[in-house]
Amino acid sequence: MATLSRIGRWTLLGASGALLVAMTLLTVVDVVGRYVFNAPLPGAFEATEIMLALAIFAGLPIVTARRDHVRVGLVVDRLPAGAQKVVGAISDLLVAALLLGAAILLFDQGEGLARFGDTTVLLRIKLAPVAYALSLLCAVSALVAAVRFVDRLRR
Amino acid sequence: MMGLEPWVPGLVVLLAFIMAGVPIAFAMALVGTGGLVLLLGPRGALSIVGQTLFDTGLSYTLSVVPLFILMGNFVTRAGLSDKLYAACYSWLGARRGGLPMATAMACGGFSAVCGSSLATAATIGKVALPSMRQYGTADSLAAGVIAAGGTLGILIPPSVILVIYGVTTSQDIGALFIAGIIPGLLGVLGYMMAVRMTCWINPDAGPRGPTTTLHEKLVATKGVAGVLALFILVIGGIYAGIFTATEAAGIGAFGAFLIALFSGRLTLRGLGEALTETAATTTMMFAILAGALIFASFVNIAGLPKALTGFLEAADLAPFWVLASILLVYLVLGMVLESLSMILLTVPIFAPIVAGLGYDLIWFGILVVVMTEISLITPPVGLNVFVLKSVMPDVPLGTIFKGVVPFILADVARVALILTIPGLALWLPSLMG
Repeated sequence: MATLSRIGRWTLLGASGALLVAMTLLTVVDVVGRYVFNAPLPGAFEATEIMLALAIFAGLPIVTARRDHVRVGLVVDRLPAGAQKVVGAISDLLVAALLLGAAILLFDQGEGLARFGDTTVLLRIKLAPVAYALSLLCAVSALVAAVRFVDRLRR
Repeated sequence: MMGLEPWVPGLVVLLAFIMAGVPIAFAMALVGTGGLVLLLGPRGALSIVGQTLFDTGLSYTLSVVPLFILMGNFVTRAGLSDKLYAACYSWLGARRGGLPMATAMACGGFSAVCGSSLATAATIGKVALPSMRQYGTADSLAAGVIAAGGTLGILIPPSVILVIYGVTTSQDIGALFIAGIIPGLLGVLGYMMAVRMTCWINPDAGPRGPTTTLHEKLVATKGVAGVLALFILVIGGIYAGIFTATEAAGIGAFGAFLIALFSGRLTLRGLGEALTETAATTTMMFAILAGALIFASFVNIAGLPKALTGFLEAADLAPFWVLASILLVYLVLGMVLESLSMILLTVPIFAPIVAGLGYDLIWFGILVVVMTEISLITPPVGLNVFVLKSVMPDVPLGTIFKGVVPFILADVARVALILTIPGLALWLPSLMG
């Protein structure tokens, strides 16, 4: 379990890091190409869009695992330990349920895109697989949040 | 519509969830989705939510956000903050209150290559704090100037918050960046004056540092070449119309990478950390963005903007006072909400009203960001203050908040100034190529 989560973490971090590098380099090549060689990369922005989406959602399981999501601790951090545990557990469960819901909705988006064979305008990248990938990453995050919920109850 | 409009309980439930410690992004998504289901039925509501989730990820304009965050992370690792502080210190350090004044200036300089307030406070704090403590600067003043100076990160371009504002209001991000320059410099000046005032009231607060020779000054000043080159490349490129803000972010991230590489401080491990930190921060911000967009769809369909406009018409206030009340709302909200969520929740509602009154949305954006800066240092939630607390754990929170007071006063004066002289924000963008 521990090894699995380590492999998963490094794969996801590696993937989103690599996507960020690719986005940076793509922009540099596009701008330099436009001004120096008078040859911009057609459709660079479409590739950037898709890489951005994948990078963000690849980070989601990690941020969820680290409980790094921004929250206001003003009131809840002053409650007694027992109450904090209950409120925290409910909050974890909510996060898990919402992530699962997001995964289902993104899967539906994918179905819709697949039915009409939607692609991007210039590069003709198929959009359905992108939606499926985002859905899968949301589902993984939901699983991570559920594990956190169980962890909190056990402690 | 008679009786209680659905957005009223929506807002109350949202605040309850946020206060219960549910992550803000998820609280907004949950209440927004619930409200949409009640108003439109599950079919329509869920299709809006699904579309929002997909579209938020695939936005070309927003790719500027991770790239500017990446640029800031590389710059931090290149050790540019040390050089910046050394340069500012060499010119100002020997004066009364010179160290905190140099800190304010270094914060301004770092903001020119970093788009985040928390990062600016944390990075400059690590350099300036040991030096201020060594020469006996009062803890309250040292903490106050770093917390306040750090807020300049979101005003002096590049700025992640200005990007988000620009996307929400369909304003030109390049113009917003350029509009932030003069108000940002005013901020540095205001903070330096706040240091002077503090030292004037309590002469022991800011002892002098050792003097430096002219040669030392010049050598130290040469150290800021990297920051300056990067700023001119990125912001100069936007200003001259050579590239868009999104392209500037890619170029800036690459430039910062080169600077970090040639500084000799970037290890393979450091590179990995810069990338993963960027990925995590970006995901956090986009989660909030998606949640806020879902919640905004709900309050829009529920009629909050119409109700607000109706209320304002009934109140029959002069436009200036409407604007002033809106800014007051930011001051109050800023005490309890995190800055990005605050902007995302309020700007879609207020911007149409402000535009309807005939005000410029670029100018309003700068005002909102300065109010957000204040929110970062006001109790009880001032985020920058908590960053400081993590850098100097031995100093009580109360001391830090006390030290921040003179800087809040400087900020209020700055808002008043920008409010009465819109040209401070709008003159530079009007010259853009």
